[in-house]
Parts: sequence; structure tokens; C-alpha cells
Amino acid sequence: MSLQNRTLRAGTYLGLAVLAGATLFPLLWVTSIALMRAPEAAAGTPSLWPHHPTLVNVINIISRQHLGRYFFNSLVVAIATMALSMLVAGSAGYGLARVEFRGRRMVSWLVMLGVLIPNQALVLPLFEMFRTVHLVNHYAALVLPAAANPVGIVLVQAYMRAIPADILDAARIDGASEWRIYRSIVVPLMAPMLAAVGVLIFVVSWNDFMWPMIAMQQESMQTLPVALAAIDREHYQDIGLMAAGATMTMLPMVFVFLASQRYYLRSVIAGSLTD
Amino acid sequence: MMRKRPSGALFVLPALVLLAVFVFIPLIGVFGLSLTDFDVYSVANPANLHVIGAANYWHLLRDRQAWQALETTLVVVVVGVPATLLLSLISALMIESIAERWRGLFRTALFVPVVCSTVAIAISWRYLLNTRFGLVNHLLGLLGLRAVDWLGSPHLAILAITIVVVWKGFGYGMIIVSAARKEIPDELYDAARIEGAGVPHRLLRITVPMLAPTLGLLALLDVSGYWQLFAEPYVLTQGGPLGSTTSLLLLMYERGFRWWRWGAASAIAMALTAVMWLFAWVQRHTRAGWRGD
Amino acid sequence: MSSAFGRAGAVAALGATILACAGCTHAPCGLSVWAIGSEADALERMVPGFEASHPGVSVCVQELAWSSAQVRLLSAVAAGDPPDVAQVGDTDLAMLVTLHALRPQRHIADDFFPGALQVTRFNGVSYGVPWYVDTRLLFYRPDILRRAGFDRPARTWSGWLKQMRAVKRILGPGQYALLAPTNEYEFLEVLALQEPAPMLRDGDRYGNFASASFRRALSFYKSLYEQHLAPRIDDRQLVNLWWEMARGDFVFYVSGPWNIGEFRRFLPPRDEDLWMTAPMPGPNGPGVSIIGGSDFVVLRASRRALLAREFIRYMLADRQQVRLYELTGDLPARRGVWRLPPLANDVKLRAFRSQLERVRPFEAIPEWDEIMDGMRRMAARVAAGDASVRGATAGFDRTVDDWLAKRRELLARSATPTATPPRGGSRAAEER
Repeated sequence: MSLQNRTLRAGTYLGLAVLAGATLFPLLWVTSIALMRAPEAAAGTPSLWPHHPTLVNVINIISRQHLGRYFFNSLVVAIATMALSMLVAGSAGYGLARVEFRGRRMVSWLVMLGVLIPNQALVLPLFEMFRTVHLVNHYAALVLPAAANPVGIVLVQAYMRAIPADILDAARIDGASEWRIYRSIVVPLMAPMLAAVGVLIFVVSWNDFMWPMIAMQQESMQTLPVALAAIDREHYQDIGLMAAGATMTMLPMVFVFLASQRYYLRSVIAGSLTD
Repeated sequence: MMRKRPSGALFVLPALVLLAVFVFIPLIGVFGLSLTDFDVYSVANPANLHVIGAANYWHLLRDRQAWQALETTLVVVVVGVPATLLLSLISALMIESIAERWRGLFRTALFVPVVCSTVAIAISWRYLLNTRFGLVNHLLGLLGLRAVDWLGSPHLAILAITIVVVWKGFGYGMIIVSAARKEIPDELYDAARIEGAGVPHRLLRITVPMLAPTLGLLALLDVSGYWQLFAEPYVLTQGGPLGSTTSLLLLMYERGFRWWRWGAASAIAMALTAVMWLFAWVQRHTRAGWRGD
Repeated sequence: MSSAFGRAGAVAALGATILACAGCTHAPCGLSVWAIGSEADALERMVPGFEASHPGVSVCVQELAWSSAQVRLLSAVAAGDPPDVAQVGDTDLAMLVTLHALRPQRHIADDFFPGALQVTRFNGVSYGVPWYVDTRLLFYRPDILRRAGFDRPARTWSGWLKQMRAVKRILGPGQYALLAPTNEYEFLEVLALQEPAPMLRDGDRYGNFASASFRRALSFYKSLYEQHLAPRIDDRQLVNLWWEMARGDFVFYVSGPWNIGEFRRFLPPRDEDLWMTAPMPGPNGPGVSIIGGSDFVVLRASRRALLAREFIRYMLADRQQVRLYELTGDLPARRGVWRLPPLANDVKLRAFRSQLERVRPFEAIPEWDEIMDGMRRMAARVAAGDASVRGATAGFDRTVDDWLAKRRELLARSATPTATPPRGGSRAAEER
């Protein structure tokens, strides 16, 4: 190997190491702050490592700020949103890709239009709608709008288009009902993509902020990021407490990501290949 | 081949209903609200609600805060999107060029910020960027540089927010570019190598042109994400200092849900949507040149 | 794998639905009470005592967040489904009164701080019962002040300025005489209230920020930053305010009573002497400050007004007021309670006790919060040197006039006898 190539390779590894350091360091540091006592965390020269590790911040944020409750809310909302989105996106994606019906082009077009609408711009009328039907402060206020996510539909639709139509046609000739075909042939075929959409939606729902902040006005119904931002408004001067809160909000998603990387990255990649 | 079946519509129905109720009807709602003076007095008594036509839009045109918010949001898009694309591209190419067994590790490391809650990220960065105790300034100090008031100076605060946004976002593009890079046939590179083309040449003549469509799509994704900037300034700076980090959405939120001026807030929401469509239109009309199909 | 996958999805959906409905059951309430943040927690702990003395009555306390309490209450009023009793922040009271949503309150105790009672009155009728009070005053470092040659904080602006300059000279680099975060409006609001002219004029129809009074207050505020007595930072840049103050990074800080509890929570007991409280200095002598806090209100739609009144009376008894202080650090609205331990023994509370006698109410109109937020932004531009005092205040008056347009329109309409009187209505309409 030439010298030039070797320096290039060394440079590449070095560059990646620097980038990885830059992405991981803030996350590790905030975790470390979470384990420090106030004097150490607010010291003029910041410590990298807790010299006297303590769980006092973690205990405080759980016991005084009821983090467990928010964690539970986030989990319920994320699971329900994921489940509903998978049901909706699965059937719609399949329907648009592989079943002919009147108005299909129109619906396809509407779904694409949906992708282009900044959903955060819709919060005012959404709030008014939910207020009218008395569903503000209910999980439904977060689950239903989030399940109307056109991205999931688009992903499944594109995935199904890539699957040869012959398999389905054979089943149709055999006289199987559409529903049977869907359940016994289509769902297994698109399971990998559905899983990818599910993980994607789960993470998006967990991290969603603006609408949950508006829709959940009762503290006991807030999700983690919303509660974290609210706690932050009152306790921003307490770096240890906030670091503990931030860490505990991020860690679950890091674990979810590590555990489901294969599916998650698939949805990311597919998202770029669709339209 | 496909046959027309009435049941096909049933598969699409749930999605259609959800989209109609939670996307399209609210969109019409925003437009309707933007033509009224809906405010807290109207909540109490509908008699206090008037249709005022385009008055909210006229107000917006001579509203200093709104122009400032537009400028702020545009800065994040104009500075942030190219920076993100560049980082995505570089990191993806680096990852694709190293030994297979190390790729997963680096890919995971660079992608982790993408899955983290923006609120939590913003809180972490606020301490990192703290003028007096933050590690960023401490590092600058070690390099012999002066401490920088990242979040306290109107010019730097928006830059700091852009850095955080790019830091959190580039991993997403990296995955996409990296997948697209795999699709480039090796023969192209082999042929170039035989002709004696160096690394820079191969990069500029093969890799970048082949990745152009992907980068174009990524640009649209990033633009639409950054255009909806909200949580970062909400947590990091609350829109300050001097309103320099108040994004359009943050302004809409404050008008709508802090001061309950829904008519004015809806006009901002409509403007936001309109510009987004403009971006999409531009992307659609420029990408024809980039794509092979 | 795939059918198991589908089944798992269905089970998850079902489970989520069940969980979702766990939150939507409503037990029948004998009395529904809405409270905010930590006060709701405290109330929940005091409710059993009330229930014990009122057999058969169950009280449901619902907790709201400060950021959205007003919106929630307004929506509930609009939807015709409000609680019986609610905790309302002083600045939010005006809106509810404007909307005719509250019942007038009659005498419940003799010894409220007059300022606290005054902000519940609209056209002479009281619509709330003060629960706890809040004001702003000086927290300071007595030891550093002594080192600079002063026994106690000055009573006048000029004396205070002199002290801050002296203190600044003995401080190290990066340390300041005063902490006045540029994203808080309360400090400037206090300074403005200390001047004679009000911030709004003509029955709160127009802004009055270009008045000589307000310009004096703003100029004083601006000079604090110009002379580097206070850093131009917002409070987001604090990492741990109490440690920073204990380290001497700031000598003065204008803040509220909750910081007494916070200082004690963060600093070890041996550091108790590192901080002290003192009343606000004024332009020419002891200064007034703002009056804040929360009131109990009874909603007009409530069918349990008598029970609601019983509840409020119970919560305002000496024992409950002391209990509230112990649970939250909230200062009792009744002066009598201050003679009881532990309030009577706490030297740090004395300044609050005297400051609460010297307060000036804000303009009780629904737009006040927004006006104060706008004032903060305007003042930050002035402090940063981006705008002149004269130009900024004149411009801000125009903005405020815009915000008050709808209010003016409603006031003009309410001249006709059928319309809703905007500020609580005439006394005759309220007597029952």
C-alpha cells in the first residue's frame, strides 16, 4: 500500500473518531453531570467525571418531579401510536400499491400532499377540535393525530410496489378474499417494513414535543419531553437535576435504537428511495 | 396485473379518515382562523369574534417580530442545511471507505443523536455552551481562545442553535447517503483508477454526481425539518437574546398559546406552510436535472 | 415470525386502549378544585383534614401546570364545565372577571395584606380570596457588603448604586454586584411601579410607557448594565444560582420568597449567614414592590357555592396557612399567621413581612402579562444599546395600543346597558 493511501486511511479513521467523539461526548458528559453533586457540577473548571458519584439527582427527579408518571405516559402513547400507525399504514400502503380501486390516484396524491404539510402549523385548530370533543388531556389526543402520519403509508406503499404482483394474483385466482390475502400473504411479506415503520414511529412519538405540550395541559398526563421542558423552566439553575432528567429521557430511545437498529435504519433508508 | 375490487378502498379508508380529520380539516381550519380576530375574548363569548379578512396578514407584513422570526428561521435553513449535507456526505463516504467490521460502530455513534429527544439534547447543550462553566468555552480556553458568550449574544445564539441542529441531524443523512453510495457500481471506480484518476478526481467526477439526486432529496427533508424549528430555541434560549432565536413556529406558539391571539398566530402558520410548499415546488423543478429517471 | 408480529401489534393496540382509558374514569366529586403545580400537591395533602370535618364530602383536586392554567380554566368556562373552586394567579384574575365567570366573594378574614386584597377587587367588588402572597425584594451577601463598608442595603436608588459600585471594586473578574437576568421582567416592573405615573393610561386603554416616570425607571435599569454592575445574561446561563451566589459571583439579586427555600436546599446550614433579605430601595426612600400570589375563586357556574366557601375558609385557617408554608414555602396571605412559628422565628422572612406592607398593584387587565413580556423585550434592546430610551418607549406605546384595541372596543360597547361590563360590572348587578 502506498504511503498516500496509508495516510488517507489513517486520516479517515481519525476523522471518524473525532466525529464520533463529537456526537457521543455531549451525551456522556450530561450523564456524568447527572451523577455529580451541585458543587462539582457548577465548578469553575468543569469535571468530566463524577469524583463522588451520587444518585441524589436521579432520586430527586423521580421522587420530587414524578418522572415515573411521565415515563409511563410516554410509553403508553408511543406504544399505542406505534400499534395504530402500523395497522393504518400497513393496510393503506398495501391498498395503494397493490389493490386497484376508484380514486386510488387521488388518494395517493392526498397522501403525498400530507407529507408536505408542516404538521406543527396545524396545532391551533387541532387543539380547538380536541377541546370541543373534550379529549384534551387524553392519550387519544396524542395517539390519533400522530397515527395520521403519511410517511408510514408512503414507506409501506413503496415497499409493496417492489414485491412481484404474481403472488397476489395467484391467490386472487384461487378465490381468496381480499382480507384473507392481506392477512395470510401480504402481512408476512411486509412485516420487515412494518417493523421498520413501527420503530420509526415509536421514536418519533417518544420525542414529539410541541403538540403534546399543547394537548396535555394536565401535569399528570404529560409525556417525558414535555414534562422535562416544564421542569426545566423552573429548575434550570439546578444543572444536576436537569442532567438527570435529560439522561433519563434520552437513554430509553438509545436502547430502543441499539436493539432495533436493523429495522430503524431500514426505514430511514427507505424514506429516501420512495418518491 | 390488478383487478378493480370494491374492497380496495376499505384498506385505505382508515388512513384517509385520519388524514382528513387530523391534517386536511385542520389545514382548512388554520386558513379560516387566520381570517378572524379569534382571541381570548372570543373563547368566552363568540359574539366577540369577527371576520376581518386579510388584516392579520397585513399586520404581519409590518410586524418587526415576524420579520425577525423569518430571518432567524431562514438563517438556520440557509446555514444549517448545507452544513448538514456536507457532514452527512463526508461521514458517509468515510464510513463506506473503512473496514467492514468498524462500520457498524461508527454508524451507531454518529446516528445516536438522531434518536434522542430534542428537549433533552437542548438541555444538555445549554450546559455545554454555558459561558462561565460550559465545556465548550473551557476547551476554547485551553486552546488559548477567549470565552464566547454563545447563548447571550444575538449573533452567536442563532449560530449556536444551528450547530446543535446540525449536530443532531447529520447522522440521518449519513445513513441515507451511505446507502446510496453502496448503489454506485464499483466498475466506475475501477475504470477511473485504470485511467489513473486520483482520489479527489474520483470523488468529484463519480461519487458526488452519482449521489446528487439523493442529496437533493435530503436537502428537502432537512429544509422541511429545519423550517419547523421549535424545541431547540424553546429550551435553549426561549427565543432570546433580543428575539434573535425566535423561530416562526416559536412566534406562532407564543401568539397562539401564551397570548391567545389565534387569528394572528394562524396567519403565521399559513405563511409557514406556504413557504414550505414553495421549497417543495423548487425542489421538484430542480431535481429533474439530477435524477436519471 | 410475521403472524406473531401481527398478533403482537394487535395486543399492543388493545393494551394501549385499555391503558388509555385508565386515565378517563371520573369519580363523582362532592367538590372539584383546580390548583396549580406544587400548590396542588400541598392541597391534596390538606384535603383529608377538610373531608374529615365534613363527613360525606369528597374533594377532587386537579393539578394544572402554571404555563397553561389560565387557558384551561378559560376553556372550561367556555365549555360550561368549570370546577367549583380554583386557584388563580393574581395576573389571571382579570380575564376571568372580564368574562363574568366568578362569584363575588364576601368577607372571610380581617387580616389580609391590603395589597393582596386590592388586586382581587374590580369596581369595588372582590372576586377572589387571597391564599398566599408573593413579592420581590433584595437577596444579598451581607459579608461582602460589610467588606465594602456598608452595614445594610441602601434605601434609595442612589445609595444602592453607590453600594453596587463599591462592591464591584472589591469583586474579582467575572463577578458582579447585581444579578438582573435580561429575560425576567419583574425587576423592571418593580422599578416602574416605584415611579408615580402608571404604565397604562385612560382607564388602561393606552400605553403610558413614554411617560417621564417610566423613562426614569428604564434609564436606571439601563445604567446597571452600562456600568457593568449587572451582567447582560439571561437566567438560562446560570448553572446553580445558589452556589454561584455563595461563591460571590453576585452580591444582590431581586427575587421572590421561594428562593429562601431554594437557598436552604442547596447550601449547607453553615452557609446560612452568606445570604440575607432586605426590602427594595426606591427612587427617594424605601421602595414599593409588586404584589403577586394566588387567590381562591368560586366559579359562577358552581352549584356548591356554600360548600366552596367552607372549603376556602378551612384552607385559610391558621393551621392550614402554616401548613401551606411548610409544604411549599408560600407566604400566608393573612398577617395574623406571620405571628406564629415557624414564620415568626425566621429572620429571612422579616424583610418580606415589611415589603408586603409596601406594595403597589399592577394594572389588572387581561393583556397585562403580554404587555410585561413586551416590556421585557423592549428593555433588553435598550440595555443592549440597540435602542434609545425615548425611541423604544414611544415605539412600545404604539405596540401596546395595538394590543389594547379589542379592549377599547369592548369598553366602548359596554356603554350600552346589555353588554358585559368589562371590569367586574356595577356593584348593583353583583349584590344578591
